[in-house]
Order: sequence, then structure tokens, then C-alpha cells
Amino acid sequence: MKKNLLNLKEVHFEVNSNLILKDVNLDIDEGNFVSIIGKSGSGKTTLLKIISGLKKQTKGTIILNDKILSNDNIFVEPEDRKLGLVVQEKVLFPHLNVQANVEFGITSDDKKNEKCIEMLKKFHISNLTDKYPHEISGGEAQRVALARTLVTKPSVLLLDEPFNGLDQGLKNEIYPDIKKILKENKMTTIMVSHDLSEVKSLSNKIYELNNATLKTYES
Amino acid sequence: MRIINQKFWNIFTCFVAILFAIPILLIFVSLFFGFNDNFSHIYDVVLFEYSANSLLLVSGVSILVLFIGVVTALLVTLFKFTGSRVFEWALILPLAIPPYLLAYVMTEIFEYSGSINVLLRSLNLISVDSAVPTIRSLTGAIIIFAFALYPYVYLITRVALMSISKPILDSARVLGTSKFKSFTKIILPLIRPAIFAGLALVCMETLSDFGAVQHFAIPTFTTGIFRAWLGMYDLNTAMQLASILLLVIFIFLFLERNQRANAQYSSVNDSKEVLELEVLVGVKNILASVFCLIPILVGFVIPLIEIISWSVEIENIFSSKFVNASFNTLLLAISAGIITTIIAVFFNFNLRIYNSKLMNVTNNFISLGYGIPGLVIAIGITQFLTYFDLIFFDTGIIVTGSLFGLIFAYVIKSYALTNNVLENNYKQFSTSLDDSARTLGSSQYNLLKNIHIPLLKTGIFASILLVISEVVKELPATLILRPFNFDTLAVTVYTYASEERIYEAALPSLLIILIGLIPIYFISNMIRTTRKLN
Repeated sequence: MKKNLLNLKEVHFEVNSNLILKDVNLDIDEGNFVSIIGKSGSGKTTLLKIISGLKKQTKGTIILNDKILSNDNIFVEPEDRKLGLVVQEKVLFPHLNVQANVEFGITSDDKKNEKCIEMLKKFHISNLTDKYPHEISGGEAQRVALARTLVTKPSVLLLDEPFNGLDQGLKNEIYPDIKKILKENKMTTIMVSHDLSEVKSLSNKIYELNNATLKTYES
Repeated sequence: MRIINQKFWNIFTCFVAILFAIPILLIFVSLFFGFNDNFSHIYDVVLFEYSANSLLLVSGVSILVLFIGVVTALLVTLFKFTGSRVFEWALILPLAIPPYLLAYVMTEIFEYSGSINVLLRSLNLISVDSAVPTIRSLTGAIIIFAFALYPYVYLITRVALMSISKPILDSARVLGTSKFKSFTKIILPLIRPAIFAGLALVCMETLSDFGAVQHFAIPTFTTGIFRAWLGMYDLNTAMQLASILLLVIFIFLFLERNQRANAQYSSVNDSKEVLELEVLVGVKNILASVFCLIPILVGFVIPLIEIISWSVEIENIFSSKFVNASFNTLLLAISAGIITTIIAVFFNFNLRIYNSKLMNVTNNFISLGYGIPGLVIAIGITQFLTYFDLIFFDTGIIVTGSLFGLIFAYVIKSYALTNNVLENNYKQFSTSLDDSARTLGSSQYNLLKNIHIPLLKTGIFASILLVISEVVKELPATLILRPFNFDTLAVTVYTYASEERIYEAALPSLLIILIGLIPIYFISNMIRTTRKLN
């Protein structure tokens, strides 16, 4: 039986009396790929930011591996949560080349280079090691961003519309690689997206965020 | 009908480039005319002193400017504290006061009978017959330049900080980097090119200055050049010294350009999210406010109050000398503004229509004039016009010593300003507008006259104003190239300061500051607009 890895309990979030998330409950088992769909502005990105610690919920509890990450009294800083986040914006560090970008999150010096090269190979981008972010394409940049996150072996991978802006051909190229790599690494993943076909091709379970409430998606 | 074709534009481009290049080339050519006794004397006796002083000055100013400029930029961009919204634009106010004017004012303030000593004596902090150390020293000059020039580093660093995307910093945090490490590993490397670009500008300005170092009696390259020419009456030696200075300036110019190009790669920001400001409270809040307040007080508020206090002491402040100097200054500044803007409009129009490599290279080349010291340009122009007179006029010196040379120097020095404004203005409207006009039968002349110029109206107006503010402050080139008995505001202030009659310089100084506030108005407007967009 799969172990329950991440739990969100009655997570509530509002800004200036504007309700964004209302009593969100979510339990994710180890190795699952869960997707959350919803319209633009429905609070999907906010939910990922709350899980990653970049925002703090107004109420509720977040538990990872039976350890409280955040509640009314406890707040674990994002750098200490050991989670991975890939977003749709250009987030590669522009002053570092691809290799340095991927090595950025590896904390131990041991086999840093090998780990990096191995991950770049998995994403078929080992030819880009010396290139700088402004020298590579959008699709390549997203592969590098994914490689940079996965090389740190996060407990949970959070994907915030990471393929937004890529054309369908490129998406079709990337999806099998991602599926394969995530499966190999038994990676627990939460992806938010507004693209239902993308979500269906990757996920085990789909949720819908609507009117600040999270529900299981029913097609 | 195609009134103006590409051939004409190419000839025009080359003509302007040659005209801009000649004074500089003549400076370097002087190195091949041999070195006379005057140069040997300077080489043996004072060249080391010039070099050492210039080096010490630039090093000291760089360290202080880095400290003030970078820390203030970090504070107002990353934190929220008492007055931070006012400080973000007020920190550029010292740009309105040129270093030589700040030097004159501070000298007066720190004199035995100056405001500081009077205040300290009235508070019984010093005895009646003692005084604080004079500011007329190398250290004093370093402080003056730092407080006058730090806004260059502040402004460029702030722009670089604002262009850092929040998701990049978020990614660093989620990848396990603490806030402090994010600062040292992400923020600092990303703003480093901008800091160095700003610093290179400060170094160029420091090396170019004549008024402040001359007032403080610090022998540097600029005072040496001035002395060689107007003391020894040896133009060739002055040009040879200028060529050494120019070589150093070119290194900084290269550094500045190079770092600006790097800064562009570092500021890829496609995110709508802006950096969240951290709210400072308690002691941190007070320290941040005080740190930002000091450069504004020293670089702008105190000198302004001091100058206003001088004007109260003078009986006939609207003297005929002041009226004449104001008229002369405005005549020169407006003429230079219009001519520079016309050239910039032609170049940018030309570039937009043909986008040829030659024009692009030429435009970049003639934009380099901003970095060349006014004194060096003036010497090059004098030599050029002397040759011109010798070749074309049998009757003697006609163009040399006329307003032509002066306006020519201002145009070279301020072209980059107008070019920047118009280049950005042009980017705001699509080239498909041109295509529509052309397919509707509009000639290039009509396109320029009826479409571009009306659309560029704001840019044209802004660039004329910017040149005016630049020309009003310019001292060394004006001192050298002005016709006999032709004073400007800057020259009047310089003369009064040299004659120890600084109180009489109150009104010209105030007018220089007032006109110097023009670019600050534009920049602060830009800052406000950016904040509103965010």
C-alpha cells in the first residue's frame, strides 16, 4: 500500500478580505501524479506557493511525511522544505550557464558534476552545458528548469503550468521524457494547469479548483 | 517622390561621423609631432603627481560611491521604511548640482567663518578661535565627488534590481537557498554589471572634472592640460596630455559599454510579479531612513540652503552680468539642444528606414562623446578650427573663438542623451505604421514630417530640455572655447569662485540648479510610472 506523503488540512487563504482558497483538503500518496485544473485566477498558483512556503496560508495545516510544515504556530521556510517547484516563467539564473544552473541546488559537493550530467542526459540536453539561458530555446529552458529541480531529489515536485507557452509539438516531445523520469524516480508530483488534455496525459488523479474550493474532477 | 535616398543618408552619416571624430583624432595625432621641452618638464616634474592624484581621486570616489549608491539602491528597492517612497526619487536630486558647484559651496560652508564653524561655535562644540579642518584637500574632493556623483550608481543599480524577476528568487529559495545566500548568489551577481557600468560613468566624470579639482588646488590631468595650454601657451603639450587622459577614459568607456551589454542579458524578466518589499521596523527602520537622508542633505539640501542664504546677502542680485550670462547660456543651450536633436532625429529615422550596419556603427560611435571630457573635446576642436581657418580664410582666425566651436563641443558631448531619448521614443511605435504610410503613397520626407515628427514630439521636447540642462552645467569646454568677453552661468560662477566673491555667484548657481532639475523631473516621473505599473 502506498504511503500518504502530503496532507493539506482545511487550508484557507484570503487577501484583503478576498477569498482565494476555502477549506482545501488534499491527501497525496507517494509516487502519485496529481493535477489541479481551474480557470486563470482561480488560486491554483497560490496553492502551490502555499505548499512550497512562498506564501503562508491564513488558516489550516500542511503536513509532509508526518511533519508539520506550516500551521498557526509553525512555519518551515521554503529552503528547508525539500520540495521542487517549476513554474512557467523564465526562472533560470541568467548569469549562470546550464551546468551551473542545474548544479545550483545540489548541496553536497560529492559527485555534483556527475549528478548534473546524468540528469541533463535524461532530458537529452547534455549538449547545452556551457550555454547561457539567453542562448537556448524556450523548450530547452523548461527542460533545464525541470532537470535543475529533479537533481535535488525533492520529496514532492510542484509544477505550475510548466509547459505553458510551448507549442504542441514540443509538448508531445517533452511529455514522454517527463513521464519516464518521474516514474523512474518515483516522484510525487502536483501539477496545476488549465489545459485538460495535458493534465489527462500525465496524471493519476485530477482535481478542480473552482470558487476557492477544491473538488475531485468529474469529466 | 523619393526626395532623400539612401545614398544621401550614407553621405550624411559619414560626414557627421568624420566631423565628430576629427577633434579626437587630432588629439591622438599630437603624439606623433614629437615631445617638446614643456612636455619633458611636465613628464619629469609633475606627470607622476597628476597620475597619482587622479588615481587616488578615482579610487576614493569609487569606493565611496559604491557604498552610497549601492546601499541606497538596495534599501529603497528591497525594503519599505519611513520615507522610502520619497527617497526613491529624492536620491537623484544631487545630480542637479555639478561637482564644481558643490565644491564651491562646501568650501564656503567649511571656511573659518562658514556656516559649519559658526554653528559649532554657537553650540559651544568648538572654541571661538578654532575651526573644523578645511575641505580643500584630496579627501575633501573625494567626498565632494562621491556625494555629487553617487546617483549614477544608484539609478543604474536600482533599474537592475527592479528587473530581477521574483520567480527567479522564489526558485532559488525552493532549491534550498536562504535569503542571505539568494542575495549573494543571485541578486549581487545579477546587478554587478549595472554597478560597474554606473561606476565607470562616475570614474569618467571624476577624471573629466576641472572646476572642483582646480578650486581645491589638486593637480590632476585636467588641471595639467589647462595649465599647459593657458599657462605655458603650448597647445601641443596640452593635446599630448589630453591623449593620455583620453586613453584612460576609453578604458572606462569600454568597461561601461561592455557591462551595460552584460546587464541586458542579466535582466530577463518576463514575470508580472514584482519583488515583495520587506517592511523594516524599529532601529532598522530609523537606520535605513537616516542612511538615505544623508546623501540627499549633503548633495542637495544643504548646498541649496547655503546658496539661498548667499543670495540674501547680495544687494544687486539681478546684475547686468547675471542677465547677460543667463541670456548667453540660454542662447547656447537652446541652439545646441535643437542642433543635437535634429541630428539625432535624422540618424534614428535613417536607422529605422534602412537599418544599415554603417549607420548603426556610426550612431554608436558618435554616441561615445558623452564620455570624453569637455576639456579634451575643447582642445581638439580648437586645433581643428585653427586648421580650418588657416585653410579657408586668408584674413586670419574667423571660426576659432566663435560660438560655432562651443556649440560643436556641446553637440558632441550631449548627442548620446538625445539619441537615447529618441531611440526609446521610436521603439514605442511599430514599423508597420511606416509600411502603411509608404503603401498609402507617402514619401520618406512625408513620413518623417507628417508621421514620425508628430509622434516624436514628446521625445524631441525632452531631448532638447536634457541637452539644455547638460550645457548649462558644462564648465571646462565653455571656459576654453567661449568667445572673448562671452560669459555663461557656469563661467560666471567659476569666475566669482576664483575671485573669492562666491556670494555674488548665488543667483547664477541657483539658475544652474533649477535647470539641472529638468532631467531629474523626467527620471522621477519614470520612477513613479514604473511604481504605478508594478
